[in-house]
Amino acid sequence: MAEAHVALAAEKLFSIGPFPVTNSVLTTWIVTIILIAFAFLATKNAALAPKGLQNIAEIAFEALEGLVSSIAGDKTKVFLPIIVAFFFFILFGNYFGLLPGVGSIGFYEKSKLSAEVESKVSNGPNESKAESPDERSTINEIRTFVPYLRSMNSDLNTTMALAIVSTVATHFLAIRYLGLFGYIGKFISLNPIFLFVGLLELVGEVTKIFSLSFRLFGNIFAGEVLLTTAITKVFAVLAPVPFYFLEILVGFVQALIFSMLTLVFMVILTQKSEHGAH
Amino acid sequence: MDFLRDFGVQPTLLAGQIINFLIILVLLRIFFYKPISKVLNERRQKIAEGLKNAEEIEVKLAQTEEKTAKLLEKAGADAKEYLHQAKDEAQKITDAANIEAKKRIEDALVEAKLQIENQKEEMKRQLEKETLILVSAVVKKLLGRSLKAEERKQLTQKSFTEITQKANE
Repeated sequence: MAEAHVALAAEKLFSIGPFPVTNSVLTTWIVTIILIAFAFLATKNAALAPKGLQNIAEIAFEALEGLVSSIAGDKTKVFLPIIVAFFFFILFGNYFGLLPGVGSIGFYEKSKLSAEVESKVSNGPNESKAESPDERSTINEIRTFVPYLRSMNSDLNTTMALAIVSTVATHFLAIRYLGLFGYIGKFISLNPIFLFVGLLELVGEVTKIFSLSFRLFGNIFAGEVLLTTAITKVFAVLAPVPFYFLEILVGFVQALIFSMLTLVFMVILTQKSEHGAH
Repeated sequence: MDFLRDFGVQPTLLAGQIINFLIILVLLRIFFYKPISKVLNERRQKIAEGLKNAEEIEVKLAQTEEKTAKLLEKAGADAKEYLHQAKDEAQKITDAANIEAKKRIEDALVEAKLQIENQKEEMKRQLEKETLILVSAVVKKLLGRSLKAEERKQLTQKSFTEITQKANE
């Protein structure tokens, strides 16, 4: 049996035209459907006296609204829908990744690594002939496990897409609130000191994409690795339970961190710069 | 940016995920953000209205209570006044009735006295008459003749006086 491990990159399952569908993309679609279904069902018969799902949705919404309005103030109405989408999408994705079957049901595929080694072995004439059949048989057994579903945030594509949307939305809102000149004035100034600071900030905007995406990816990917290790190397029963609790916490905290950072970036960038008048 | 390839980042996948998230953004705005915030705002308004109404009702209640207290006080005062008036009236009526009764009794007394006087007078006359007849009869028997008118009168008067004196004794 090949050792279970989590690959850094998401594995491709099939392609729709030029678009490769990886297991994390498949998960993203499922999470999307679940999330939208939840939103739809919770608000289908939205009534003044809430019932069932509407209660849950309202509690979550109000908590988030309170948090956002305490930071964004009068811009809450504009920022909240974006923050809500980030938070719930990431939260649902993280929790969906914890469900049994995600990352554990899949198939074996001959890995590129085994194919490479195989060719090397067959091409290597210097290898001793006594060892080669043995080696060949073990190499033939090196197959990689490909799960059908993979926690969506353990794929850098997803988190980077989120980070790009977050950053682009932030800049878009900054232009909307400050006007084009006010926005440019945030980064470029005639004062050499502020010009330098502005350029640094510009670099910071690019690194924001990386910090946001790698933070989320790193946490969730590490969680996947941790759980896989706990299940396969320690003991499949009971041993991973504390780690699952840890991952439930991490899933929530990372969703919160991502959305709160997005919010803070938005608030900072839509504020009129103090040295704008100079 | 080569290291990104190790993480499996591909432009198509990245673009796909961005589009996917934008769709989520729009759908959540339509199906989640708008209806929930609408309902929450409506409820907030309702609660605010309810609280305002409750306050108004409380004020009105206080006013009504004050009014009631005033009305009760006034009613009490009025009742006292009416009672007083009624007592006065009753006193007046009683007084009038007393006066009337006294007057009637006095009248009746006077009448009775008058009647008694009349009866007395009548009796007196009757007595005079009978006495005269009696005296005339006695004189006729004694003298064998009828009395002259002058005598009759004298006699009658005399005997009447005597009888009256006796009767008065």
